[in-house]
Amino acid sequence: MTVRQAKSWLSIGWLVVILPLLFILVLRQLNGFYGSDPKDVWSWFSQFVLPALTLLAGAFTVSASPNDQRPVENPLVFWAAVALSVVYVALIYLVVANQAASAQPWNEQLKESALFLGVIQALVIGVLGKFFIESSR
Amino acid sequence: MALLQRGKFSSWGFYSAPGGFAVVTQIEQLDDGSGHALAGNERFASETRVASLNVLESIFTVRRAQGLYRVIAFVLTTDPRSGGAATDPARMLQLARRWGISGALDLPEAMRRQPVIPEQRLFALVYEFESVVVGETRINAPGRYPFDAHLGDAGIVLLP
Repeated sequence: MTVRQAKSWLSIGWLVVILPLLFILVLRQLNGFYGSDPKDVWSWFSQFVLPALTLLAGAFTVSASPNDQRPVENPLVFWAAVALSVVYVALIYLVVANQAASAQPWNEQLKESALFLGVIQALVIGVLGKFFIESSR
Repeated sequence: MALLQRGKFSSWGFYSAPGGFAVVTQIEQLDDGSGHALAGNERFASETRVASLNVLESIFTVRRAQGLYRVIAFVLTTDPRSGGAATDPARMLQLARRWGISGALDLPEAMRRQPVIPEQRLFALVYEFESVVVGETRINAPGRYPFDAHLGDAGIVLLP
């Protein structure tokens, strides 16, 4: 797998799994799922989804170089980035699913999810950053 | 009581009312779309079912679970004054969940022997509640479904 292919897989993969989440949250807001004050859910989305997306988008466009045609030098970092991304996105969707299946207030659930999502997000961003920086050298 | 038994009510409560008494049915859960009582045990389940075992179903759920409830009260009284509008519908629903199971099981013997007098009026009241899980509770006034539809659906036939 070339560096460019690996970057594409990561970036497109993230975009493909996050777009449905965006639509679900918008639909929930329009249907009053989040009551009259849905700003907490969008703060949560901005805090836990946008950083990885902006990192991917930025790194993908800025770091485009002739090295992109070379094979991935360290596949372990790439697969670690993929695995952590899958776990992280799955957790995000689990939080969203639990909002509909639990009688606990949704904003309380978002606050509680921040505890574990924050930790895993740091790992995800770290591994994604390492992959993109190493690939551009 | 035979009237309520025909409606397959499993529980109701008797309460004192000015110059008479009231009978209140156990709270029923209705189908949100048709207004008919839910089938089986779900008819008298006082809480809306929110838990879903299907994660995918939960992810794509874009509306909060909502329960539609009904309580029917028959009041025989000489003092038909209205209690006024409810100021706290959520609290009233909480109370209504207990009306049918907290009242007396039967009328006191002395009251059973008393004849109905011309000053007494019989009122049949239908309370319709809508409650969003972890959200707003409303008392529908007027109700979403007509009075006759509620009584008919509950299996209660009032003779003229």
